[in-house]
Amino acid sequence: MPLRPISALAVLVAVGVVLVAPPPNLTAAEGPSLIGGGPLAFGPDDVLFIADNAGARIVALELGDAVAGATPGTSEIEGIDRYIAARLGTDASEIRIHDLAISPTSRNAFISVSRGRGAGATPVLLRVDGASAVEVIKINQLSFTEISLPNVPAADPAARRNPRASSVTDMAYVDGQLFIAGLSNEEFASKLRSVNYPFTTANAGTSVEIWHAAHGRYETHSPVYTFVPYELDGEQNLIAGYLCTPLVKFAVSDLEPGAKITGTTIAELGNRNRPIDMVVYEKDGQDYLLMSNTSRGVMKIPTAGFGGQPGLTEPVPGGGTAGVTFETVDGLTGVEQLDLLDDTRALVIARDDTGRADLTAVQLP
Amino acid sequence: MARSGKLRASAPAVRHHPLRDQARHVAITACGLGWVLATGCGSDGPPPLPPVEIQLAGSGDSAGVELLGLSPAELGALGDARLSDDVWSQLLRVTVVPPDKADASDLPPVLGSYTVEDDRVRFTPMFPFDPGREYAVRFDVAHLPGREPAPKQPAPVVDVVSLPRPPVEPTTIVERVYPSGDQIPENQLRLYLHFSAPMSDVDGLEYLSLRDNRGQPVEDPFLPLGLEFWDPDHRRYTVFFDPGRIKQGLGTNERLGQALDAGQTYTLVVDPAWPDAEGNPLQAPFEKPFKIGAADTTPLDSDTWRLRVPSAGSTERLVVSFPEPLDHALMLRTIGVEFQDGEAVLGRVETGSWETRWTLTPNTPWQAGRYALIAGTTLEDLAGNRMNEAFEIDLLERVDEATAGEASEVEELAAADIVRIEFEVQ
Repeated sequence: MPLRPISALAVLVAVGVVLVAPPPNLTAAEGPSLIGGGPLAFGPDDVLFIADNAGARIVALELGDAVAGATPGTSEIEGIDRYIAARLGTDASEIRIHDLAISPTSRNAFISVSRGRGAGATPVLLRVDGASAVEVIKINQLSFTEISLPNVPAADPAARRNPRASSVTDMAYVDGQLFIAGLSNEEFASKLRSVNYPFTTANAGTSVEIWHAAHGRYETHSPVYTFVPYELDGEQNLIAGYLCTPLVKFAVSDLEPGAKITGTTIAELGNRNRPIDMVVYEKDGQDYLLMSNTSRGVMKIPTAGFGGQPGLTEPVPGGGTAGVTFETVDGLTGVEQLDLLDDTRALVIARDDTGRADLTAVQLP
Repeated sequence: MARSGKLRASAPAVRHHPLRDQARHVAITACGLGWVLATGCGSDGPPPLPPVEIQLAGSGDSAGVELLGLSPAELGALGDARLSDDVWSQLLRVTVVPPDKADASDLPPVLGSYTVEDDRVRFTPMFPFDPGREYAVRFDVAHLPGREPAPKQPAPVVDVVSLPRPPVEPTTIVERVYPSGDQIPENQLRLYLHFSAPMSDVDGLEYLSLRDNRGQPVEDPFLPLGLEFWDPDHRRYTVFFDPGRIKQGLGTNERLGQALDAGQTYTLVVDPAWPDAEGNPLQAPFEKPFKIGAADTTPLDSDTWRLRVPSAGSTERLVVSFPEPLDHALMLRTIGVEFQDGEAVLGRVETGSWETRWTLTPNTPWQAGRYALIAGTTLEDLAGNRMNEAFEIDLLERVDEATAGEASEVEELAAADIVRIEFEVQ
């Protein structure tokens, strides 16, 4: 089903305003100034999507020549947090790394960070090239388009700023659409949105219900933390990792604005855990999903069973696992950021026991 | 003008640092001329070190580092040389001094721009210097353009600069916690902490604990969402109880049991070390006790709401009373009033009576006519129950209806996301 514009659907309480995103703001030489940092995703033609979580918007940055440093690829950097902090004139404790994305063309790494921990923290986008050059991308010199994320306005416009804030947890671009998973600080439901790129309007979001097999109920009250687009039997799907940790597939064609749909829970990967990042890769003729987690390591999951796996409908008690099989990758610990560097390697930012974060290339398992 | 690496008065609150003293010592040894370095070391030694001075210039966000004492010829050569940032940073290198003063020789220079002005070179950092942080500044004359090569060059001049750190004056307090009442259900979903001033972007869970009636901390009561749920002003922090400890059947609940037990009293404890946006701790610790009632799994029912309708021509409050406390943030955001012409009624919205009451005081007098109270179905009670939808209810049937729908049914579903309660003002 085609996605429909929000204007036909949005019904707001209290003030009756229709949530239509403002027209794209295209500026030739005066670039965006971000309010906050957030996830990254590469789109077509060296466009880098940046979720400006504090600004409740997504910026599509046209990197142009900035997509590549002097050397293709990405070098490993020990203590990347300390290194970035030193370049930005502060201490590693003042640096928060939001996301890592590899350019499909230059294979340089782009890292979204915040400098500072206060309300005035400054978002910074950095590029690491194959010769260890770490450069700040001067985004204010780049062309961009942007789209605001719908936010229900406060009932009382005279009150101070609307305290509701949305946080984008992950984004992915596929076939002219940017998919966006997000949370709010006032509701607990997961929200998946899609927007056509080039930007027109953001839709109202599809509330997604899943069978949480550890729980035994259908629920909307669980946030999506990471997802990837993936074709199953010729149909575009999203594979999503939820808190505590169902793995769920949705057909993209089912994502209808304003609708509630049921995803198919293809695995229950364990409780007390938050998935962080996932990528799909091919090895020896087989596709695998590689997923990093807060407390259950990095999982390697063959995708061969995704299409045929019947949805889990029975509770999985005691924090156990069920559904498609997976293995936990030895030796990969503390992985906080993950992306594919090339056909055989992933690039990770992993924190060791001393708290040091290293930018490291690892062979795909 | 001083003729040494000594800082001038424009850089207040600078402390001695071993780096600086060591560098001066090396310089003195190389030349044997004490602090005044202008005269060089004689014809057989290295070319003389210019009489330079390093100083912090400007204040606050516009602070930078200046190098004074180069000759007009040297400054002219620098201005003409169009040095790359790499070469500039070899000549005048600014690096962060780690808080623990650990070896920082492997640290890269701070990013910034270099300009040559009338009588000085200025380094302006790309991001403002942090107040209170020390920055090492090293001038290495060997990289000065046109400098005569020599087997031995004077050792670099190193100094340390820092902006004064504002005094630690804790003034921020926890103003309110919602729910504001002293009783919450066993399956309470979230808490809101309101601070009197913007807070730092840190993981608040490190500063929050829940203690049982024996004063023992409850293990992992809150959800480690990994995103800091601040409002845009960083004054309100949202805490979610771990649904694994609320919902029946999730593993954490089986292992740890419910975080809250009905009939018991728990105390939310806020550690005053929680830094505000200025990096200062809170003025005082904060505690709020809660008595725990039975779990609430009943959906909201708008038929139970009671309205006290004001009279036409007045600006009296419209009062809506609920049989139970509702979520404070959602009350403020998802409830409103519109007039018969569809226009929203603007005014002051307040909650009261431990969030069992919502009031609207209009900016302009009520008109005689039909009004509607409008509430979004995203409105929740303390346990996350919504209109016609309990937090734990099985929604399979409704999901099937929604996904089977054609476009028109989807629109109806969207229209059904609000409830309207009409009333007449006379």
